[in-house]
Amino acid sequence: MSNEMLRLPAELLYKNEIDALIENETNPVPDGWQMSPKSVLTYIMGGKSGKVNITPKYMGDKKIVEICIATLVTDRALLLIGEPGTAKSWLSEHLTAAINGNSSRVIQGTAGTTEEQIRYSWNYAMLLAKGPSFESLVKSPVYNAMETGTIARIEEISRCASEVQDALISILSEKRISIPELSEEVSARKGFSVIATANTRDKGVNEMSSALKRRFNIVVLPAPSDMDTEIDIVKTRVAQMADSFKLNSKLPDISAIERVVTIFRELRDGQTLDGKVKLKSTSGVLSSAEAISLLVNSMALAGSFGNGNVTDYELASALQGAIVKDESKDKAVWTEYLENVMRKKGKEYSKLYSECKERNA
Amino acid sequence: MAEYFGIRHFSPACAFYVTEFLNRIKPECVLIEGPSDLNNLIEPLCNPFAVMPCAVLAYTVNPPVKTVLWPFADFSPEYRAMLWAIENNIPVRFCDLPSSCILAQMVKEDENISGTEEVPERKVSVYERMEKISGMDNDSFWEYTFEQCENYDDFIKASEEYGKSIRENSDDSDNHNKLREAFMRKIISESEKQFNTDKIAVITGAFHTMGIKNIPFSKDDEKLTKKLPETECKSTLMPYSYYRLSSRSGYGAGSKAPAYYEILWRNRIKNTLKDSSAEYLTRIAEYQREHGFQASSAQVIEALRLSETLALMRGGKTANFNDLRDSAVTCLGNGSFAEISEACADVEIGTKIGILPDGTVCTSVQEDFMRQLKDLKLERFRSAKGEELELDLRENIRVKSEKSAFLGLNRSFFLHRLRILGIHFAEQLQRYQENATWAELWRLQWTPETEIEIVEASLNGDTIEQASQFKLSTQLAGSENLAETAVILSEVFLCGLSDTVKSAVSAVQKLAVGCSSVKDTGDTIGTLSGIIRFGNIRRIDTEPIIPIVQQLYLRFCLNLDSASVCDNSASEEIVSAVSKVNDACLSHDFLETERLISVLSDIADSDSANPLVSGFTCALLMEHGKITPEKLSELVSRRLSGGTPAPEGALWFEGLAKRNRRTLINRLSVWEKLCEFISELDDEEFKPVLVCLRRTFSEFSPSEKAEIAENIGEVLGISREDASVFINSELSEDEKQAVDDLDDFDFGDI
Repeated sequence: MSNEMLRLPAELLYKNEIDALIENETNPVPDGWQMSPKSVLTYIMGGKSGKVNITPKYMGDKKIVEICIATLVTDRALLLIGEPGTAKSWLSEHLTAAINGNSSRVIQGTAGTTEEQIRYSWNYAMLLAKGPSFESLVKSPVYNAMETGTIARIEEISRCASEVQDALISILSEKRISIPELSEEVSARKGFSVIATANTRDKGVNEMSSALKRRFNIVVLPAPSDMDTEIDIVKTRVAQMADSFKLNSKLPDISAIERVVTIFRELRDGQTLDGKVKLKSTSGVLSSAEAISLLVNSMALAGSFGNGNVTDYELASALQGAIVKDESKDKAVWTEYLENVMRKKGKEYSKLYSECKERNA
Repeated sequence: MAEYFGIRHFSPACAFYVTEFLNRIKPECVLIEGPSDLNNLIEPLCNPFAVMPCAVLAYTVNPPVKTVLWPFADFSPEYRAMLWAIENNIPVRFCDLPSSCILAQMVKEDENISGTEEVPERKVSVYERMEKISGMDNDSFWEYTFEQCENYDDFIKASEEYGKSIRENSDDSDNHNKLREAFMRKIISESEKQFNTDKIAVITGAFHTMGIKNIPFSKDDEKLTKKLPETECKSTLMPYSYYRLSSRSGYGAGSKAPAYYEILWRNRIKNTLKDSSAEYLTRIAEYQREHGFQASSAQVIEALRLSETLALMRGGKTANFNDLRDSAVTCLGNGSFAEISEACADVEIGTKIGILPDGTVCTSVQEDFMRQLKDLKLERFRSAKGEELELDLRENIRVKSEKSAFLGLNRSFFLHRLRILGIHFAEQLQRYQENATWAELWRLQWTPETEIEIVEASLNGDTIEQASQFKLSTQLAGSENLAETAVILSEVFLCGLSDTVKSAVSAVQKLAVGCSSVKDTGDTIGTLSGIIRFGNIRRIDTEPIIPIVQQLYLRFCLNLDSASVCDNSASEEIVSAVSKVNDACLSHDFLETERLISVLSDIADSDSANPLVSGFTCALLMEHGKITPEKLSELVSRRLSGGTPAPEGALWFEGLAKRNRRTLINRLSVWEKLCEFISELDDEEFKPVLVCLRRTFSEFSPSEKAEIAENIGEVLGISREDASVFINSELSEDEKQAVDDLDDFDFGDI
């Protein structure tokens, strides 16, 4: 059955790794956790446990993951901030999968998220029939996590309205939910915490209040620091996704990935890799995640309409779509990049350049 | 037998235990890793009035000047050992290669560059291997294991083990280290004889300890150390700064965070080592609060808790520097380092500067200064009496040697460098001679303050050239404004620092991309064009600047049209920018004049553009000969006609009169229109126009004014004589009254 699911949760996808880490545990395990902080680190960064190879889940600075895990050990809530596509949700899912074996206690923050979704709401049929009681209570993921001493995730917290965000303040500082209707208070068990993620780049988000911010330890996830790491990330994820989507296309060769990552990095950083020429940046976000979906997209194009090989033709179409989001502004930036940078990059880029130029005309 | 203590430079723990080590073994002689020919500097360094950080500096006498530094902080184990020996009245010596030998090697390496590259590479690999074994970076490992150790015996054992493993994990010692160790063995054996004792304490880097411990001085060693390369050199003590300590040092292993290590050191001698973490975090919070950021005690407590958890996860017992920095970023900086970067610089690196008692300092910069005075034949100006000096920067073709041919130029470089360094020995005076870009006028005067300023300059580098280079590079790194950066670039040219030109040019290029302000672009074009025009007299290649000027010129032309629609306060800036760009355009072939002309024509013809700018562009077009007399008279009549508000017309005329007045004066039609314009005004309209016209004509010379008056007289049909009679006649009562009323004229309304 699991093979038919579009996307498996992390704890099922990597069940054998988690089991191996639990089995080979040698360090003390904090209350409410299923493995020690060090094993969590191994699970995220990769390594070996007994005979099982642990695949790296987050490729980047180990220091950042250490801070995240240490924060959760100290019962502080964790707030992951970063540009889109810097693996915030990915990291939070894997952290909860490793710590609790359950990454499903999620609240998706949207403009329509209400306070009830963070605290609790009522099963109205039951409420009318039996009156207020624990039975008629519908518990939120946060409530559940408090009861079981586990970690709740709140995605895109900055998309929630401010008053909804602020409902978290008392939960995080007092670690309890009061239910005035029942004159009851529910205290969190040891191990309870919250991982929230927030976007820095999206428009129309609600600024988080400083009262709430103070209750979080904030970790900023950076874009991949160097070229090789990013190529690695893109390569690995493209292979994984191509596997599950069954695209009738060969994986793009390493030079294609390299070229896409180069273009993305240069436009994102606003300068060429050698630092010699400064460039204008696009309005859209050119994250590694964007690069991954671009390559998968071009694989789909090649598989469905081409000969099954990702060529410059497919790359150029996908690049145009990914880079030019705001027609008037991005087009100029992309033209400038093509003329000033890509044209001078030499033979490897010449075909891609002419394909791109044709599409951007 | 001698006793050995392996240290790590700038380690508070080593500094603390070295004293205890000496107290325990009570040696009769102390040997310390340092230049063996500079023993005479130990005593002044340990002077009770000296405040660390200070450094021992040796430098070659002959150019190119090479320098080598041995910096010491309060928590340098070497410094502590020296202090101990001086307090206990026990002979103390340096035992490493003499500075003359090290400098001679540096000079040689410079001659065949291939030799220099190998040494640092090998050094890295030792530590990389160590990092692989310990699973953490070297600084963390050291701090967890040694800085946090609070037991003498544990420390001694552990550091011995550490020394051994560095030795084992490094490749065979390279030749340089072999020589150093042979030399140390030689000094040990000599000292044993000289002081007639075998109770010698040898304090060297842990790596070397293993190479000299219990190995007797052999015949091979003698052969190796018999003839050391030498070069003529001098030495001095100099005040050092924590900032410099953090970025560079004679060991190649400075201290990343001297102020942080000082916290560790102070807490260790107070026996409160455990409080260091709290002190670090509190001081970050304190700095943040002082500078208007919010930082509560609760946040400090959270940071402290986080740092301890991090330390446990990373394999330590107490938080180290990285743990503390990471938790400070997370809890006090809202996750971003940028928010607390200034606080970190203050608490980790600090601004402490060493002090040395008078008479002990003779820095290489002072030396360099004196040598250049002599080379440039400026010695006679070194007096309290101010004297003027005129420089001719051109090549003097009447002399033979290159040195004297460019004497003026080299003098100018030198004086400009002093100016950049804030050494007030020379002051540049304004010259009013036209077209004399090859000449400079200076006033030179020597004051006691100058001496101090030169010593201060030594904090920036070891020679005048290096120091000015460093200072300008720092300014470049800090500048975020295009026009400002361009000015720094021109300073680089004035100082003749060809090595810095590249980085300055790329800084300008970077800022040029984001700059859309017409004023900044124009000013920058002006500055850069000046450099290109006069750069060759300074014998520096100006080629790399040309593409930037072209880029900026293009942007300027594209933006000028929209920028010309502005209010009166901005118009002056635009006019000055346009004038600079116009000058640049006239003097460089690589700028397309046509592009500017077409923009100028658009503005001249546009009614929405600011009248001052519009008038000015019209004047420029006249200058270029790109406006026909018909067009001009059309514009003049339109601008000065009744349909245009009177103040705007006057402003337009002011703009028009800003350039080439001669052509203007001779155009009778212009004056005709002006007369018509003024005579049609009613009293209320006349007032603001008067102010404007007065301002316009105030810049004209008396003879020009007379000519204009004549022109106007001709227009009005009044002859010269008639005018003279009229002007010289007595004022009537009414007229007198009107003139007196002018005293009460209120300019505030206009």
